[in-house]
Amino acid sequence: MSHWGQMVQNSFIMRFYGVFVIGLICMASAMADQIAFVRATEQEDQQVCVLDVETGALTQVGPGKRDGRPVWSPDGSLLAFDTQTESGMGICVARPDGSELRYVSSTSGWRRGPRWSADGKMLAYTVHGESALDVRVGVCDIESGTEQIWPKNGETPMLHPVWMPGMRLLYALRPGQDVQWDAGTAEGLEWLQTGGVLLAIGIRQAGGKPTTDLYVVTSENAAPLPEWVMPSPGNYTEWAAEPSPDGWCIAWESDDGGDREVFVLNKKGAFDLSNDRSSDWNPCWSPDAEWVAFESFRSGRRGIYRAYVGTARVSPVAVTPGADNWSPSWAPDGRRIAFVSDRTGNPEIYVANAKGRDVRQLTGNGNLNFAPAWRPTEDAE
Amino acid sequence: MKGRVYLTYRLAVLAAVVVAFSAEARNPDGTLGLIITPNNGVPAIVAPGGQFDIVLRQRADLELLNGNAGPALETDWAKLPGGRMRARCTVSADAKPGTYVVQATTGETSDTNKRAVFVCEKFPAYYVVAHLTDTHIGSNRHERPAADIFRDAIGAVNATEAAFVVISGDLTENGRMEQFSAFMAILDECRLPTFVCPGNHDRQALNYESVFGPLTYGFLFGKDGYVVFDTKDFLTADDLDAQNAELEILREAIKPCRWSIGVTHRYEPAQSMRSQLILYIDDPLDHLMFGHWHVFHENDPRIAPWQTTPMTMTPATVNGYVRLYDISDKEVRPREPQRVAQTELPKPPPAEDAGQEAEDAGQEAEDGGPDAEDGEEE
Repeated sequence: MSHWGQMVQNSFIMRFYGVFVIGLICMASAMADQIAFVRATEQEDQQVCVLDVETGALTQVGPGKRDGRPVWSPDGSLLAFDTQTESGMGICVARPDGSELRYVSSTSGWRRGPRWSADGKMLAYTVHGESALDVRVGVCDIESGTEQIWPKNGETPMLHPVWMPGMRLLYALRPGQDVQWDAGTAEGLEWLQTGGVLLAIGIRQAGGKPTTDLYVVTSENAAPLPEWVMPSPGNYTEWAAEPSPDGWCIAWESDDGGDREVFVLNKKGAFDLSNDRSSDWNPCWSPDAEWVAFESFRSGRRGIYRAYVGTARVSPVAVTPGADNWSPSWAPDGRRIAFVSDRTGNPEIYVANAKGRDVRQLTGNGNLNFAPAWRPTEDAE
Repeated sequence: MKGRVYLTYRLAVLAAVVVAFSAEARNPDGTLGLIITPNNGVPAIVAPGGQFDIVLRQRADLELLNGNAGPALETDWAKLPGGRMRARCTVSADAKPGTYVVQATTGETSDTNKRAVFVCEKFPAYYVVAHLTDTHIGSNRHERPAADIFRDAIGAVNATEAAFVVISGDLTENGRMEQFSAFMAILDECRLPTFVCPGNHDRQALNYESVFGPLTYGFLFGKDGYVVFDTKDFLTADDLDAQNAELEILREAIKPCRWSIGVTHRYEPAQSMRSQLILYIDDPLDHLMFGHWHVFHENDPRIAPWQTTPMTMTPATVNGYVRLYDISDKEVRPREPQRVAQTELPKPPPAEDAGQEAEDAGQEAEDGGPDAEDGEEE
């Protein structure tokens, strides 16, 4: 090949790759700027939609039958949510363009609150039985559609499961410590090395009343987080557990201390992250695992705050006199937060930078808009 | 949930624009006009010199009227989200006990809400609450129209020593506007303040909100605090997390009260863990009044799985029942439900057995009647 020919070929290859790279950047950018949410038009008409943050283009994704809070698969290619079936609620997945909508769980009974495994192959959710305390964790392989109850022979009622990115946190805390699980005592933590691991809310009886604990759940076993890793001994009601994206921390809320607070457990132990006399709820990790956004009533109404995990310093993100702000969702770059606010009198989706500035209203179509979930990008995983 | 109310407000504002000047109560179709609360389903009870709030779609001149006159009001205005206005009103110390109409007047519009404000001489330490539920106006569950049964129940509570009435949802059979209108026509026969909340049967577009306003609200009666809340739409109330802030704020507001009492249509523990954390676990209510199930099943685990708040289910008023509660320093004590209305009409007897049939029908009513709804779940 001539020198000229080589140059032409190189130029072609460079252009090809240039276009390819630009295409990838555009795709990543487009993915980063999409938010799934629930749009409600009437009392039971709630539909999962996807909104393009820049253009405002709206795509209807869910069937619109009491669709619940959407959650993105880790690679951002699928959405999962619960929606109404003929006999209750089931778990659906769909592409963000609304295609390939299908039930992946049984459509009989009540299944709610899906959460993706890190590899995007499984969903965990709550399976509701006939009575209030008849709740179990269901795990579904979305390709085969097979469902298992985790743990297989567990007796503790469980709900609100979320996948742990790994168990290195517990290993770091106390390697070799015996753990009491449903069927006895496990030596060390080897029983956790059986595949996927979930964190769930377990219900147990204490003094004749139900209370909740954070449980580690596998396909075979379940065990409450040992008392030695909790903030203090006692019967407190734990809720809304969220592992950090890097798997090194767990954030959750508890009434330990007298009112509802957001706590964090890391390898140094557990501490009160939000620490205020008013209620603090619903922790939500930033992608870099350095911040936790949460809801708090410290201003009198519900507002969104963020706390730096390293120092527990709290600063406001969205606080509006006389109105509520809730449901924070971090952008994959960690620089922006989407949330719901009723500051105009109607619940709408907003976005602000992580410091609460540059607030922009994204919806305003006369509907009621809830539960924003920012689409992840692969490079953010 | 609150968002729906706002949407209703906006729709109703739109409706109000097209309504010509009128001093009639509400809009012609029965929906709320300029004044949102208080109204005949969400009234204010106040002692002389006390305060209550009026929420309006826009600022207006306000009066309390009983006949052509009423006590003076001092108002302190604040803006609310959605363009609404709140007037914190102080009733004059010489206000006479009685039932008052709230009248709001702007340059173009006048609106009145009947049975909206009740001035009581003072709040007693001991009082009685009447609980009605599941009136199902518009239903054909019995040979007697539900409206007639409800009228009997209202007549019965009018004859009691109750301080006020709570009606915990399923006010109507299908949530149709004509059913709400029929409900209100009978409601207004009550001499007592009447607090309502929605039930699953009231779910029809935004009709409930357009007629009574907020789905979730609180009120004080003397030393006691009440939170009245919606359980008809669990998904929005829980997963989408719209109602929970209101519950938390109301719960926090009545924390210092002697008794904190919840009123809702149904108790469904599997539906809203957040609301349970707020109301039954972190700071448990002292009592919950609810309905929905129509018949007794107090051993049913659906009623009180967390076992932190005593809960009392009252059987359906459409089946003829009303329950009274004694509220004192010592306790919140539910009395046995009373059968106050006959639900079935005696069948026309054959001429030759007329006397005996009538006697049998009377005995059946005394026995509580043959509730064909045993096991009924609404």
